[in-house]
Amino acid sequence: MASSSTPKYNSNSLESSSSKRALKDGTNWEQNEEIPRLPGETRVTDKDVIYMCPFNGPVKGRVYITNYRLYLRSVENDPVVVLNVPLGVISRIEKMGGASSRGENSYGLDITCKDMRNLRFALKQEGHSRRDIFEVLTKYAFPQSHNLLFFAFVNEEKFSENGWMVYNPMSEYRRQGLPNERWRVTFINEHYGLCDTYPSLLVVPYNATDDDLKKVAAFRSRNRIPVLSWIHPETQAVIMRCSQPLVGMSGKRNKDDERYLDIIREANGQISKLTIYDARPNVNAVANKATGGGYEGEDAYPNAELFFLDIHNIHVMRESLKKLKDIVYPNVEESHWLSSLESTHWLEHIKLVLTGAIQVADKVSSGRSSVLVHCSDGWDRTAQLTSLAMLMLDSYYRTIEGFEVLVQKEWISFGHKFASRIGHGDKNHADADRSPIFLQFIDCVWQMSKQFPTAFEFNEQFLITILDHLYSCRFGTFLYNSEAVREKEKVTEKTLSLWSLINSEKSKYTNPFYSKELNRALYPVASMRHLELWVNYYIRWNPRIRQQQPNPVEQRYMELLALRDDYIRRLEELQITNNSKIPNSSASSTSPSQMMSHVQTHF
Amino acid sequence: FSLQEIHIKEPIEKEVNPHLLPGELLLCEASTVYKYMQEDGSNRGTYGKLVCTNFKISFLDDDSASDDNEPEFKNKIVGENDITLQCVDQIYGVYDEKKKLLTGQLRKYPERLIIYCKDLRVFNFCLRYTKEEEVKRIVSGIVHHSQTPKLLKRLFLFSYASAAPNSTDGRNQTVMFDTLEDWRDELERTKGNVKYKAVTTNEGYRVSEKLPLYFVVPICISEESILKYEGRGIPIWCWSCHNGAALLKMAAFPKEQDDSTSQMQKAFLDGIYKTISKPPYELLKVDDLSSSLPSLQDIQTAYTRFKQLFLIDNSTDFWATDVKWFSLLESTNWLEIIRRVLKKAIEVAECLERQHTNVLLIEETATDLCCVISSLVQVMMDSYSRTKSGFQSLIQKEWIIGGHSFLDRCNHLHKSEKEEAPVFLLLLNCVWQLVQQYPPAFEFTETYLTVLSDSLYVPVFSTFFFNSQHQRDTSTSGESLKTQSGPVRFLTVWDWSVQFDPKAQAFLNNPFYAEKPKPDKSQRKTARFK
Repeated sequence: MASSSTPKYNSNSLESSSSKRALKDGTNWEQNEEIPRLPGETRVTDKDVIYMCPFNGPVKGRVYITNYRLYLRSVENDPVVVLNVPLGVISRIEKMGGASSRGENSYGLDITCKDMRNLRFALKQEGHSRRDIFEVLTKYAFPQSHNLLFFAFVNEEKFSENGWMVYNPMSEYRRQGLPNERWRVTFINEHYGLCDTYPSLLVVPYNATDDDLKKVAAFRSRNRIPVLSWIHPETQAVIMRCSQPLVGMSGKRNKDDERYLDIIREANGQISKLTIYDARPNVNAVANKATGGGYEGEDAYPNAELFFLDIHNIHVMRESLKKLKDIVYPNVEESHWLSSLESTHWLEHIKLVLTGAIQVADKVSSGRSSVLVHCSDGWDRTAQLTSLAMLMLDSYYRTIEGFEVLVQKEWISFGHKFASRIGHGDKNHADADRSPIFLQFIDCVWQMSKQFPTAFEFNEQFLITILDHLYSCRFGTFLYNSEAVREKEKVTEKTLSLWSLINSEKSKYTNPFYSKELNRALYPVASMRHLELWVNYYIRWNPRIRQQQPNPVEQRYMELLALRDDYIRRLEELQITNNSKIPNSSASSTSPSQMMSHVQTHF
Repeated sequence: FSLQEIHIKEPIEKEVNPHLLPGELLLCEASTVYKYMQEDGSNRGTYGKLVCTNFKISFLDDDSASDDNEPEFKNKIVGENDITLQCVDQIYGVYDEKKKLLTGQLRKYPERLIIYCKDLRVFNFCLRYTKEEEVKRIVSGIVHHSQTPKLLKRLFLFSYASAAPNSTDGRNQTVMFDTLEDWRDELERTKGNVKYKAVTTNEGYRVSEKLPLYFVVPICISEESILKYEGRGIPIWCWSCHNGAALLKMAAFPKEQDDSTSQMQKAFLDGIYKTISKPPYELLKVDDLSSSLPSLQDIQTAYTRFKQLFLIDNSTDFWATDVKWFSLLESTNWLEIIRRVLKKAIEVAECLERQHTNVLLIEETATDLCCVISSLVQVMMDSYSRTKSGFQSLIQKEWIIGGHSFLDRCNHLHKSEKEEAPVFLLLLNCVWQLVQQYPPAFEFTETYLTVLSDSLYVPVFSTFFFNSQHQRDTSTSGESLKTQSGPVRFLTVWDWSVQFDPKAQAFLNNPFYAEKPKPDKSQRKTARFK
């Protein structure tokens, strides 16, 4: 009959019963739960406020501030509204209204977050009630501006895994088959004397001496010389990374740099030209000559072929994300959604980054040619291109640990300026150095995982967790701009690694559809027709837009796997009882694996 | 019959010949035709023979030895290089690099032929190496057989049905709704039988040729009122919600010039409304879809624009339009129409569920947007409609027996472009959106929806080739259409084994389907599990 087989209709009528009605506007609706606290986390203050929820209207509650987070719990709502925000995500705190402001809830604080949302709290106007909460928040959200330590340095959490052990440059190069007769490991940068934004351990051509490297460093912006990122196991073609050459207006040349690039070209026995990918648009590369930079000219480098990849700079990316936030938060632009999305150019930038990475990967793999990748300084666009190309070519980087290694290597150790780009603990929200370059990289990875759902060991939650802790300052992983500073600050001794959290709970971040495949190159389709807005990240605070969590297909697959295991177990039990009853039963010849395929057909 | 038999050809001839279905005749052919690969702008391709039959246009690769890498998912009737005549959308000839639409008589013959298909495939043939006589024959043949008006009886459907021995087992779990019993079972399943009854008033089509033989109306509606205006102004039952609220549809009265006629019609309607706003019906919400939803003309215009985005000749065009893709997509308005239709369905569903209110959908003939909305509401609210057999039964109920004019809306006979509108595709597209949003809730897959929409153009099945049950019934009873073994019997599209072998059929089932409806007594009965 209909009533039992018909699901009750409400706005969630089709929603599977397994997905709980939790998480409204990024808040948990829980009841009677303790205020969570991490070991090392201390309570600073609390206060009655009204949370101006953009989706459900004003919510009366109490806000608790610790040295790590802002936590709000509603007092009247059922279910309880909860906000749980690490202070690290706060980008800006503003006072709204004055002591004499009229109108309900017009006096309070407006908090802008780095993770695509804003929080608004209204307070009582009497007795400057917001003054102390404003001061406390400002102090703990921006510890760097107040001579305080990041929470990561006081965090006393314990994990079963030690994430700092995940990346060891020597073993990663060894995994790649390095050093070999053409490539050597150099310790010239051991004390960061050659280049203070590079790691201490570098792989360079065997035929280039440390003296050569020093000479080349003089001709590369910030001494970021061409070094090896990855070598193709079959073609021996390599991906090299560096910064722009210091050509300048006068078109300076450097014989050592020219010779060094030729050594790189010859290192895999290549007769054809060395391919140089300059990530920038052509005009930007030309404009950089004015400030002493530039690109490899044809005259100076006759054995190289230069291509511009048209990827824009950090400022363009920052503005693009700002526009994206405007159309998704708090309200989603509905009537002209697609053209609004297009006008942010966010996906267009994603497309260009992916297109560039595909070209790099294809050149190394199918073209069997070594490539050199650079932008201006070689720590933003260059990191995006090399790491994405490596992800396309090397299936190891598509595992959980492999991806952690990739991030540690291409981003953290090679000096992507996380501190400047994110502005950890820094109150200067309008700093022109801030830019969502790493977010853009993770978005590209997500786009790839959408196009190849079985190729990655990790799931979407893994990527979201990385982004959440990119801002949270709970772990030392993304703090500071370079390995040199991190060493000085003793990050690995005094803080925990994000990978400790993740690797201690791997199952939570594992993609059930993953099927291990070795040496398959993945080339995503970098067409707007195939790119999607990552709704589960960018619009996750909006309860009306956010897709179902957890992913229903993923959940269903887990259920089916559990069911299969259960059937196999029961089958084995039956066989045991059966065998004991009839000793010569023919059933004993049926192996569980044979039966398994039979069982599977019922699903 | 078995399709294997058809495929067996005399291997004596080295020449490649088309696989012909029973009743299929070869009409014309041309050799050394060069078919370009679609994917790139290069001139790569293969030589072969282009043939036209009374069923399809087919390109036969000269070296068809590549049979060993057969795709896992393959249609047994329409191959990769086959285009059924009904599937041809537009044909262009290329003369000195200029594209010209080919419709009727041709004076000059083109060097290249571009065929745009309704299933969005694009074929590009070069005729430069073909004998002039053959070019003339094949081009005019293809244009004539696929682009010019046709009589219903000339559809391949009839030659196939007369030639093929009708031994297929048409029985499956789909409820066809062509018997009184089917309607009564559906009433019982949805517990609608307290307030609604199945009527036989239209037996012999004495009420209307547009209405099905059997349908369901409120218990209190008299036979006289049904007969009075040929069924117009009568609320016809679609489905009952578990709380008793029902979804109804009604054909509106045409705009009358004559005052007294319209007065009488108004009085009649008032009477009907009065009858059904009393207990046990109570609350009724009337929704005139002709004013609350886009018109069929809007839908057709939007889809025509939308379609153009996919009918791309080469990769240069593909990348040229890529950057502006989102705004191009938006400007077609097709997605906006889908959004409005889904919103309307949600509105109706909330009315039924939350407000316990009956909903009456009104439209001129109640066979276009009424079908879309009522089907969607059922897919959303009734988990049985999300099973494969349940969905098929729903299509039978609302669309096939419900009298959607497939012949006219698809313009199968090239009679009038004015009547053409992708109404059924609109439903499938809306259902696809639901499948995307609730993946484990559907027993069928995206592939299923795709092959279902492809089947709109395969005149081997009668399902989508008539405007009404009446038209279908009268077409089969004609004298000329008797075979030795009795009257003509058509195949139904729901027998998927005709198009797909069991391995391919597996692609139609969603492995993640979780919401199995409880096999209770009444449902088992309607679903004919026995």
